[in-house]
Amino acid sequence: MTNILVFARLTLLEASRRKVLWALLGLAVLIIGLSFWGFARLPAVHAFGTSLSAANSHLVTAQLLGFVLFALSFVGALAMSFVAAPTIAGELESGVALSLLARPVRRSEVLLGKWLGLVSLAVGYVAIVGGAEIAAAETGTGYQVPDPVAAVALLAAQAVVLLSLALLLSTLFSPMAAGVVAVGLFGTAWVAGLVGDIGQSLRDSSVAAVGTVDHLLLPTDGLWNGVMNALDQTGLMNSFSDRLIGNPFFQTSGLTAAYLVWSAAWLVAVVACTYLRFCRVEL
Amino acid sequence: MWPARLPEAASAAGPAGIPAPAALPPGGLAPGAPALSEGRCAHGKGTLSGETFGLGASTPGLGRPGPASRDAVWCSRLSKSYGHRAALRSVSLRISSGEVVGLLGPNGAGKSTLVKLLVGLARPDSGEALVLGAPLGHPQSRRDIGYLPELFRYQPWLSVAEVIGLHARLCPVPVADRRREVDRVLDRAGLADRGQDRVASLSKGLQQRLGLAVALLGKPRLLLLDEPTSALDPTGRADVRSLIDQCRAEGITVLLNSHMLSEVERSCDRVIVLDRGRVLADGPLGAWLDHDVLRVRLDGEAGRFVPCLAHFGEVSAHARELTMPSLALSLVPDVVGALVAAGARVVSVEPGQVSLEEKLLELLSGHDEDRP
Repeated sequence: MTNILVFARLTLLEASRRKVLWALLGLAVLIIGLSFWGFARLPAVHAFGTSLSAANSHLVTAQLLGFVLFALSFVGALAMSFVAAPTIAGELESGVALSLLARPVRRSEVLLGKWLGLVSLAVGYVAIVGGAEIAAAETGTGYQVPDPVAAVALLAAQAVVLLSLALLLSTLFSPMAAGVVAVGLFGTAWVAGLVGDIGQSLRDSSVAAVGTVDHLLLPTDGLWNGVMNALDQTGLMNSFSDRLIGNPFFQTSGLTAAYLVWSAAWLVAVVACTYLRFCRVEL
Repeated sequence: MWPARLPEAASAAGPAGIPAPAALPPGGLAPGAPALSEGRCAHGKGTLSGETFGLGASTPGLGRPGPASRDAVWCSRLSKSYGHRAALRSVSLRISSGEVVGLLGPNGAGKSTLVKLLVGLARPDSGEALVLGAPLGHPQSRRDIGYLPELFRYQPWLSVAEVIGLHARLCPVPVADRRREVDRVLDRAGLADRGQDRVASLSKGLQQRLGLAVALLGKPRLLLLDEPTSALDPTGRADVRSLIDQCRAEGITVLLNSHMLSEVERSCDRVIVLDRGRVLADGPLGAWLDHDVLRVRLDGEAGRFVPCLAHFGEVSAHARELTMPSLALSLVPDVVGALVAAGARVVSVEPGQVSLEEKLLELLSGHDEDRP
């Protein structure tokens, strides 16, 4: 356990010394500041000569909050991919791993330590930034997110899924290729999820199946749907659901327990595959 | 931990494996040890210098059937391939505790692969090995190994002291001794005043010193140095030589993989030569270099005077120098006379002993001729 913590701390220290942490926080402050300014102005916005109704204002806030959180999650996804991708591949390529793995440490300790460090980074980033963003929306518009804890937790889970995938890719490809593939898969999963949503709105089961398969193969978009659902008030969903189906920033149904279990199993399987692959890597 | 696979013969004999060297009587096998037999560990013809180069009689450990308690390293028929390329082919060797052994060979001979197998960073395809009495990659042996890789880097965003502190934790050096141990190796590697510098700011030579400091952590029993002086200045090389001398005095076993032959010549008790993944020669350095040689330096190209000396015996020419091994000193005036008569302008005549470089080149060129 001690060695796991040593490698976790080392990962966090690297993120800090390489200024990844500060870059992420800087971007977050920028996004949160701008969105807070926007939320604060929302109650004064007039549409067709009249101010927005409470329902409309909440709908717009929920949608804007979805946009902003998506932007934050995208920044987080890019950051996690590019931080996690070189974690193993970079050390193997540069020769750092030669001296570390020559020590009496298990590869599982190295891997779990790095994973734990990255997870701490992702969860910390999402908790602080997501929480601040939700608070900014509430302060600016009075809109209360129905389940902020679930929203932040699912956003963090999405980041953890992506960084775990990047870590697996890091044992298979060069650092650059691993990062590019991870981001590419994240984007592809989002688009495939969108196609599935459109299929649902068109009542086309074969197109809708694209989203289902996508959510099973890579749970990032499925978890994102859970975030969206946690951000929207039930009343809003009932009022506008017919017009908003197929909108990636609006979800009428929450995640099922079975899907959460599947996502957890997916995560465990990916970490296990990473371990098996890492154990086979020869220096 | 990656235990080496047992060879087929051993598998047939049963899974009993190798008794731990500590359990063996000094210099031999435990009575009734079933998995080890003369046949299993016999070295193939031409594989070891014992048969091929006449060095075996004085080579420590050759001909012994299995690991002995005093062996720091014992390998039997170790093979390793990367794809279709064989990096090591049935390598058998042993290094006794306290020996300082040079590992020589041309580029791609398999030296670094052998070292990586010993550390446990790569797995052998077949063969058996024990390092400090434990299978390859065993945490116990890793604890007692100091390893300086050939191509290495440390985290550029850490300071020198942080890198050493990190390795001290992983070693693991007890918490109470850690600070003292970090200071000790920093001082030993000549980095006492660079502890707070970032690794990224160090020159290549200083990074190599850092590598040495890391290798010395925790007072290892076996030091594996892979090209330790390739980036060092003359002072740094002298420091490494002094370090090896100190290790010898402390009874630490050293395996020095280096292309700096003068360094090997000065530091090592024994040399093992690898070529194309095979052990080409293995013997005490003294026996290797105990051959007289006459070096004649000319004012001009030496090659054209080789024929006029042919009747004196073996002659080789390199640039402006003629080399004549095994020449009786009484014949030196005749050699000089023949050269002058042939029109050569003799600059110097120097009787001496064969150098390691000459011996190695001779060995490798002889091996080239053996190639089908």
